[in-house]
Amino acid sequence: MTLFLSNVRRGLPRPLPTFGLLATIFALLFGLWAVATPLMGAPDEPAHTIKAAAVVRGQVLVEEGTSFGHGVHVRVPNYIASLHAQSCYKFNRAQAADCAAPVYADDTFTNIGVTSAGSYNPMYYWVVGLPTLFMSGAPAIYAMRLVSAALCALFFAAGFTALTELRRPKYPVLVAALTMTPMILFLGGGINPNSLEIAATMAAFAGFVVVLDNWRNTRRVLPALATVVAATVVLANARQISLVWLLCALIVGVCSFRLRRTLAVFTDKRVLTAVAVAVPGALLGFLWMYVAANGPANVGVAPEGIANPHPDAPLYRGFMIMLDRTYDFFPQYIGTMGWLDTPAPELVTLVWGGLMIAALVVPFCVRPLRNWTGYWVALAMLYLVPALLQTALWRGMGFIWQGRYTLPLVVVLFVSVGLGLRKLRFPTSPVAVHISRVMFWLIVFCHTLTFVYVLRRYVVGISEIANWQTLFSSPDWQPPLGWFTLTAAYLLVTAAGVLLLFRYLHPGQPLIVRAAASGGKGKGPARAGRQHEQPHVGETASTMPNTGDPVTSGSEVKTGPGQS
Amino acid sequence: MLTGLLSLSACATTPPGTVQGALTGIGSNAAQGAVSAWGLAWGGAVKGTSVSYSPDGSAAGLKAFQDGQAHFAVSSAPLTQQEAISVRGMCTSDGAVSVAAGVLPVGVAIKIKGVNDVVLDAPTLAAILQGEITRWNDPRITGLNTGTELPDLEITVIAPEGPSDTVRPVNDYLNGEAGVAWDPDSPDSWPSTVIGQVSSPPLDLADKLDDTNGGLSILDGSIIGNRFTAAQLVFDGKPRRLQASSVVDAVTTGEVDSSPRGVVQKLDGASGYALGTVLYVHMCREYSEPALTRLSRSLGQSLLSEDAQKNANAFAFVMSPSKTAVSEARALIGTNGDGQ
Repeated sequence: MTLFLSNVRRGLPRPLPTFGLLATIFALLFGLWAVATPLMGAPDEPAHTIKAAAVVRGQVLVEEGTSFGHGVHVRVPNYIASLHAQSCYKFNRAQAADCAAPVYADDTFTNIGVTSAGSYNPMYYWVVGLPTLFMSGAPAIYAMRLVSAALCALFFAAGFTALTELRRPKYPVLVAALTMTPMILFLGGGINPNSLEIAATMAAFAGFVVVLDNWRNTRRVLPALATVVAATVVLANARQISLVWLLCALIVGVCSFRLRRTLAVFTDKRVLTAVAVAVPGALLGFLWMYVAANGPANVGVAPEGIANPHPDAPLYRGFMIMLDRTYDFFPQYIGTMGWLDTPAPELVTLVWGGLMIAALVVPFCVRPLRNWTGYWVALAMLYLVPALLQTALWRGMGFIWQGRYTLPLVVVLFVSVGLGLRKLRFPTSPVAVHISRVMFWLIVFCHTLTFVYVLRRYVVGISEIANWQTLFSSPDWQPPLGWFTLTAAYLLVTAAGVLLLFRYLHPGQPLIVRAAASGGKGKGPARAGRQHEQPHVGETASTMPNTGDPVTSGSEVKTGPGQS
Repeated sequence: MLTGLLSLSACATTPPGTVQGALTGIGSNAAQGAVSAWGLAWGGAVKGTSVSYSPDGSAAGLKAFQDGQAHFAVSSAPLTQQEAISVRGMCTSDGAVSVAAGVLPVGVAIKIKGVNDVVLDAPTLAAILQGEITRWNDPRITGLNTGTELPDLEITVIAPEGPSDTVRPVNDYLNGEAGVAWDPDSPDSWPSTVIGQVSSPPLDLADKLDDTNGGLSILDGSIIGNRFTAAQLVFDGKPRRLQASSVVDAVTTGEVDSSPRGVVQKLDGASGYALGTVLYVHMCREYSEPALTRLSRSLGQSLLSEDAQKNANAFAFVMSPSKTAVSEARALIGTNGDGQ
């Protein structure tokens, strides 16, 4: 705690402590979501939990005669095999989670478990399933969630740490932080490789652009290089679609800088060493795809509800529907929790929607447009890649796309906006600091509001009447530690994260303005900012070489991201 | 957080007699809607229970059941005595039981613009399916439909490729009629002489029929609904319409055969529309795990309850077996695991 507080006071420290600090904050946020969400409350969680328990018991490959229309049959302890029976509240947000039965620790006889993730790469599951080898019942499943949360936290922390190594990192870090929507934090608390996919894509992209940004001295960014390698191996061994996100991230990264810089980077011996390490890991992923594609045949077809094929439908129709719905998915990027049954409060959607629209519009306002090549490419990908992938699945599976599938690309898109902005002088005026302060508190409020709103959905159910008071008076269900404790903890952790970010962006500025420091009520923030601004910027410039502020003094430099 | 997790250890021990968990079933595609409805009713009545069902076909279901890959199977025919005794899989040496749990009406769906009612009898239907009658205004059809003007339109047969649970009752219907030469290789497959066999899921068959003026297909009643005209079929000399009340009549007066290995429901063409797939649920007499015996007994009792049967009727157009069949099936399932 002492280290944490001292780090917060100083702004972000060097890479390793930064990484540790960020990993702790992300792990706490994901962990709180993991504890707050009832078991199997995350999307497709039973299938992934069953798969993980099977993989750590040696059932890695699909065995002959075990693949059926609704999934692959595996042999796991009964408390795992029975997890599909936990989902009585799914798709019905008026139903509190008390309808689910307890998960008993002695319910361990081996039984048939059904998983639709049977042919997925086992890497994620090998790690996440470990707790079931020495724990049982509900604690084992919560432990699985926490392991998954820790994995995601490591990659998000690595991604953010890498971004701080950019030569002008403030805008990219700021935009990346705003991209951490409630949905991303919620997904990080469940058992589903989707969350790791988002984290690893973010890490791969951030690490890659940092390497490109420091092309003349890659030694300086070895941690970022290591991040790219680790993220590449993880993405190659997550889901098959993960490789598409990796490819997209790398393409957007290349397009965010000059091509000759990319070519130069790939002649660097450290980069080549990294490639040599990453390639075998990636090849393992391809090997798994080959093995999975040549596995035992499925004896049936997926039943309605799992798949709704359109075998004779024209492909262009699936493509056009996806294009038409591109922006319909935005609420799902922000927060559609549970089994797509619990949208975040409207206020939260409005706030993040506004921030997202602002970010998407910024490149149209900052000239020259050609400097935003990475952004344009990422934006085109956001339209086209999900549409193409859904089109490929259209006839066999029907319309299955969900917003969370696209989140890796969404994170890349918005970080690319930050990259495009990085040459601008980061505003330090008192007004800017004050606006930043207000917005940051709004973000804390929105995160916490979403958290407690989702808890309300599980504790008492969302009804037409505003039943907030029943959270206190007659809760039907309680998460471990109780909803109030978890909410208070979430508020504190969110505030700590935002405080860290604020201190990093505005060194020396307080996130909370005290009346005494401001010299009187009503004038506080602006005056406080003015009083503290200069000494701390100077101080930080010497201790934090990558804050980026002192580098430029104009409102916009003449060279854009494509020319640097 | 750790404290919270440790507090969950309070749930470490299962109370005696607890019934909760998930059961996995595989079987008839025709039973998909009914099993879903039964599962909903069960989950609502018994906390912490659910059914995962894969409609991969009766044969696949029975194989999975025998291989220990499913807790139960659903098919359109009961297990024979020998089959029931020899089932192992997840069962003990006591083998399995089969009980009739629902009746899904099957219809001859037709699509003729401007025609809303057609009567067919077994010889005529057999001749159509075998390509001997090729036009709707054939005298053998118009002879059964006096007063209805049938067009000079080609009949396009769109038949589900066997083996199929909707083929079985049609075979039974045509087999039972005098003067019809109908000799399928297996009870749920067409004779090789049947034309227009299509290997597509039932809903795709319906789409094809929808696009084919002059088409005729064999579909289950839940798909026919109000979408197609179902031909009236002649049973015991009388044309019977595919409607719930008529099917219920055929079920109510249908014979019920009970034995320690199962309850079989038959349909009575003398009193109603008797073309339907009887859905049989196969379960272990006793599972190797007592918890599974309790769980499957609970499911069996539940799916034969009034609520579950109403659900199946409302959601999937599956009729309840006769009261006698339900009562005897419940009693039989209630004895499952008595040896444990």
